[in-house]
Amino acid sequence: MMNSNQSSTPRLPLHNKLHLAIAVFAFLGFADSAYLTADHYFALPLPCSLLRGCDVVLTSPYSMVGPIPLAALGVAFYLLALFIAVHAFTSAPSRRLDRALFGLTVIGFGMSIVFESMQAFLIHAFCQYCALSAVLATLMFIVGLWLIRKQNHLTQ
Amino acid sequence: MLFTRRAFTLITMSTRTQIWLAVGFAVLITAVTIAATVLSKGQEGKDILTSTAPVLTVDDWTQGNAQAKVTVTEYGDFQCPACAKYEPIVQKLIAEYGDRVLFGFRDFPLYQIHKYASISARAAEAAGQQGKYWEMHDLLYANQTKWSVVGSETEALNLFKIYAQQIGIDPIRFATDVDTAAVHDKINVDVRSANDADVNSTPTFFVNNKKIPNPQSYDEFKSILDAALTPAQ
Repeated sequence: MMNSNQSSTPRLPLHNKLHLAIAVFAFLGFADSAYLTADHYFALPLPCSLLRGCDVVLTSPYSMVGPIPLAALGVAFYLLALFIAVHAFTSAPSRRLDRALFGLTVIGFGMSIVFESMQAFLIHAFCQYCALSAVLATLMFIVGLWLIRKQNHLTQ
Repeated sequence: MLFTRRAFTLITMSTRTQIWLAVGFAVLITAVTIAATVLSKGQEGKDILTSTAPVLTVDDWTQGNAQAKVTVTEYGDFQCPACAKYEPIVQKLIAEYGDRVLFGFRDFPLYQIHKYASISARAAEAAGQQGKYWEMHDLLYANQTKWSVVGSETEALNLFKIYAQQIGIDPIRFATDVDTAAVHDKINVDVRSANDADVNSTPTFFVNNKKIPNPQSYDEFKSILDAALTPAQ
């Protein structure tokens, strides 16, 4: 009978799993933001069935930073996070990469709080696509926190 | 550091290339799928004249005969120059058909292209809370070229406060009401109904809740209303 320690399939270390989790969330966030960006440029109705409000949120003056839609900035954010997470996953463990990844998840989480507050208090409408992005950014932040704590634990 | 070394040996150079290729491919496929989905939806939505707007209710701002069998619903933006141009035509129609037609106005502020679309719509709604919606509506269109060119939303609101005084409402309450949830909610309801009805420009008119191509003159609009008022043979 084979002992679990002698298994032929190596298990992925925890910090690699954390990189993978952030990469998956970032990929989903990219898809979400890309859809919102396409909607912005092609001016199409969104099938907002859960929380009616995407149309209101996405056409509000708060949906733009100068000439750039926030959704496009979301695409850039999630692609950057995906790039760093995959790079960290496929490279030798690097404190610098993990810190950069964590820093990015902090920015994403902070911006999500700002955007959700704007929807609640300024626009008075909610968009489930934006809510999904906020959930993903929060999950990335939680995993990022875990990653940085694990790294601190290992280096102590 | 045994833990970290073991982690690195799990991923060889060829595996790393495969991972990057898979990620790049997934991103590309996702982008193409989204573009195709969004563009195909755009094609479906082209037949705009089949769109219908919700029936006018007591929650809408209306003028004319509430029992009329013909209704005209306008989706407008107070900062839209085309809406201002249509305003005299609509006023003339209300004067002529007021006892036979019910006219309604709903907000469709074009926030992305008009800086004061939001504050002007909220100003009209706030005036409405003191029973003077139409008076503010008319003043906003009449003075559109003045308040549209001011430097900030605060300056625009200051002008609207003067209009509020002119129409005899409390300007202090008015200035507070423009930011209330009730005012925002009312506009949001209008915007949602506009999006449901495929409204993508202003003004957009619906006669008996069916979208019509914008009439090019008073006579053309009049003939549409006359046809709607004529009993079917």
